Amino acid sequence: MISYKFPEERNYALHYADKLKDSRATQLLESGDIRSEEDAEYLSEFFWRMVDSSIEDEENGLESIHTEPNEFWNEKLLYTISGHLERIGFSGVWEKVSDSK
Amino acid sequence: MSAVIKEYEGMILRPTPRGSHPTLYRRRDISKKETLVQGVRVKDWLFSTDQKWVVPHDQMGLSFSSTYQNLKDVYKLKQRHNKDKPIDIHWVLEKADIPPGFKFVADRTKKGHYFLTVTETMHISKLVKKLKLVAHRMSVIRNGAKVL
Repeated sequence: MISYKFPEERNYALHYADKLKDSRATQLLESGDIRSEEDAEYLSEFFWRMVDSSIEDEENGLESIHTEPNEFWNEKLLYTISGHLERIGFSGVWEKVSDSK
Repeated sequence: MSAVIKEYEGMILRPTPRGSHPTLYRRRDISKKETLVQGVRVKDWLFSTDQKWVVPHDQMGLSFSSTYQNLKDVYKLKQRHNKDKPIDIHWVLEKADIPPGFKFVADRTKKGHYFLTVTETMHISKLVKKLKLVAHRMSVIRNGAKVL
């Protein structure tokens, strides 16, 4: 299970998985079950795609789905997702993907 | 930069877009819907219901990085969100540079992420005064992209 500090984080990530029509990301976020290196890599990639999509929304004048701006929720999710991947032994996967961005 | 962080044990860093305050927010830094109390973002701290007091919580406060990897990640995020501004890295020494009533506490769920927390219930005006003092004691690396 992915442990979120705020319930809004999960809603926010699922909103972008839906917006990006990414069913695999939705499934990983809903189950929180990251079993393989491929899952870890996929979730890490999804994180940065979500960031880019949320920035595009801001540039198009769309308000954040929550009270705080997208940057706030992206930072919270950065800690949550990378922290989760660290705890289950995939910190190297997160670092590789993140460093490539 | 990685070597510097290792050498200065207890170096705690916070990437901030040029022109923004390192420990307080301006109205234009946050969303229209959000509440800002004297430059303090409500969601960062545990507030009393009347929003006049900040109550200790060891997993709430201002975010800082203590590792190179976490710093790089947060820096990258800030850079993407603030394309028109350089991102500066403000830093303090964990043990030496913070006033009484504040404490850096490691995030229990994320290595390299720290919260600047309050250790006592604190009136918002006192919190702001202390946050300004922390900012005053911070050193800055201008345009951190050069060292990351």
